[in-house]
Amino acid sequence: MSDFQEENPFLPEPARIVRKYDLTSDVRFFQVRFVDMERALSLKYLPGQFMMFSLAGIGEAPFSISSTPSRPGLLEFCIRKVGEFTEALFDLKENAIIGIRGPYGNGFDLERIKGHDFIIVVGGLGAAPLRSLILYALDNRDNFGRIYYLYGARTPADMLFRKEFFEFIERDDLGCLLAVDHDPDGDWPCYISKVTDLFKYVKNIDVQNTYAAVCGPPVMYRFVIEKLIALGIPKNQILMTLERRMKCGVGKCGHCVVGDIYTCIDGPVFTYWDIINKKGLI
Amino acid sequence: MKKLKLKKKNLGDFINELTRDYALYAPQEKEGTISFSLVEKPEEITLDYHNSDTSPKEIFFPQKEVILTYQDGNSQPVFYEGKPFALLGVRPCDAKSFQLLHQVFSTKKFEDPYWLTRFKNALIIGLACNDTLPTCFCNWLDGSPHGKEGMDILLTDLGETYLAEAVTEKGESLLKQQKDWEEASEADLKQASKLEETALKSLPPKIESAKLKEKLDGMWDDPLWEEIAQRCLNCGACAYLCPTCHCFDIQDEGNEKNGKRIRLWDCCMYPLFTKEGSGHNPRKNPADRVKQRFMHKFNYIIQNFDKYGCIGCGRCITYCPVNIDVREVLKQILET
Repeated sequence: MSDFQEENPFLPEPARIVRKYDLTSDVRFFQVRFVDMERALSLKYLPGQFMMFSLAGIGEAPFSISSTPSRPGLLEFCIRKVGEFTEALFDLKENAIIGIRGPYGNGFDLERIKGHDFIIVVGGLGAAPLRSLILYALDNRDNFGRIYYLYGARTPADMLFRKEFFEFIERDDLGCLLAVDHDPDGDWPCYISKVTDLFKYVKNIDVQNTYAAVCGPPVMYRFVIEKLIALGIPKNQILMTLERRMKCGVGKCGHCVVGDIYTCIDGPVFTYWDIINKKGLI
Repeated sequence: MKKLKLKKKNLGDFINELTRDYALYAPQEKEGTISFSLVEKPEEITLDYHNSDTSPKEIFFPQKEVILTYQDGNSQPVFYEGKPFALLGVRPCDAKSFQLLHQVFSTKKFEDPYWLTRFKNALIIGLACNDTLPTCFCNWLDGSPHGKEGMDILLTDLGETYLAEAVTEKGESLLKQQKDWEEASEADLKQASKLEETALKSLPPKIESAKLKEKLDGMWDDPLWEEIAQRCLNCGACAYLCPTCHCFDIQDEGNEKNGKRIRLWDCCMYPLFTKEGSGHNPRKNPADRVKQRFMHKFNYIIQNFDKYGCIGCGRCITYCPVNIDVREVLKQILET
C-alpha cells in the first residue's frame, strides 16, 4: 500500500458506546471510546472540533465533540434525533461498536483566548460544542480572566446538561447565567428571558481584552452579536461555531463550501470579521 | 522534447502496445453516445470525433465508486488495483480539467487516496482539436484547441499521420520506445501550427475573462441570479457533465452487518445538498444555488487554486434542457 492509501481519511476506526442517557426528550448524551485504548488516550483535539460517526448500512454524519481534551479517554457527544442516521444511533445500546473518524475542523484557538476575559453564549443545542469549551476553561481556570457562561433554552425541559450547569451556578469563579423562554410548570429557579437579556448581568469585564464564543440556532446569532458589539467586544474577538451539511469532513466533497472556504477544515469556528467578509456564512 | 510522427495505419499497433501495459481508455461510440471506455481491440476506438458526451474525469473519479466494504464491524478500504490507466484521444480542455481536479484532491492537509490511486500513474495522450464545435470556448479560459496542459503526449491529426509531441518526461520516454516512428519535419510542425491557427479562428471572439472574478466579487445581491433561476430546472445535468465538478456524496449500500460504502457524484443545484440536520438550509432558494454554481467556477475556485473552474468544453450548453448558455451568463456578468 502507498502512503496515501495507508492514511485513508475515509476509513472509520472502531469505537464503543460506553454510556448513554437522555438529556431531554429528543437529545441524548453519548460517551464513546476508541476500542484501541492507546488511541483513546492519545487523541488530541480542541473544543469546537467534530467527529464523523459511521454506522454500517446507514452512512456517516458529523457531530461536535462535547467533552474536553483536558479529560482524555472518553469522547462525549450530545445528539438530537432528527433523521434516519440519528434514529439508528438512538437504537444502539451500551457496548455497541460504531465507527468514528476525526477530529476535524479548526476548533477554538485556545492559545489566542488564553489570558483574556471570556464570555460563552449558548442557545439550545449550541451547548454541544460549547460545553467542551467551558469545561476546558474551568479545567484550566488560571489561564483565563473572568468567565461568563450564558445559556438560553426554550423551556426547562429543553435545557441540556441541567444538573452540571446548576453546579456551575454555585461556583464563585464563573458567572453562570441560565435562562428559559417559557416556564410552563412555574418552578424554574433561574432567569425567564431570552439569552440576549442576560447581558445586563455581565459585569466587570475588560471588553477590549475579552473573547466571546457563540453557538446556537441561526436566528440567534444576529441578536447576540448586537449585544456583544454593544458591550464593546472587538469583532475579531467574537468567535462563532457554525453548522453545515457535511459528507467527508476533509475538504473534498463540497457540501460545506462557503465561498472559497470549507467549513469542515477552515471552520467551523469563525470570527465575526470572517462573517462580515464572507458572504453566505450565516 | 521529442516530436515524432505516427502513421495512422500503425495506430492499431500503438494501441495494442498500450493495452499491454495499461488499462487503456479511449472514445468509443455506443448507442449514439461517445464516452471514454476500456479498449480491448483497436477498432473499437473513434478518434474522428469532436468530444465525448461525458467527461473522461469519470475514469479517475467514477460517478459511483466503492470506497470500503464492511463486515461484522470491520471496514476494509477498496482501492483500484488494475493496471495504470492510459487515456488516448483526450481533448485539450478535458486534459486541463484533470489538473484542477488533481489540485482539489491532493491538497496536502488531506489527500484523497481514491483519486490518487487512479490518477497518479496515469498516462494522458491528448488529441488536438483541428475542428471545433459551435459550443466550444476554451479560448476564453486560458485554453487552446491545441493546448498541452495536463497531457503527457499531444497528438495532432495531420491527415495521413499524427504528429506526436512529448509534453512530460513520461511522454518523452514512451516516444523514445517508438523506434519505427519518423521524426517530424519542419513542414509537419508548420502544418500543425496552421491547423491550430484555423481552430482558434473558429472559436468565438474572446471576452475579458480576467475581469470575471473581480466583477463577481460585487455581485452577491445581483438580480442576475434570480433571472437565471427562473429558467433553471435544478436538474443538475450541467454538474454531471462538467469535467471540473467534483462534489460527492457518501452513502451505504447493505445492512448493518455486511455492505459497502460508496461515493457518488453530487450536485450543488439540489436543495438537499446543503440541508442541515436541523432543517435549516443556507441555500434554500434556486437563485442561491445558481449563484453558487457560477461563483464557484469563476470566483471562489480562482481564490483556492488560481484556475478557472471551467474549461470551456460547452457540454453544459449542449445538454441544458432550458438552454442556459454559460457564455451568455459570462457576458452578462461582464456587462453588470
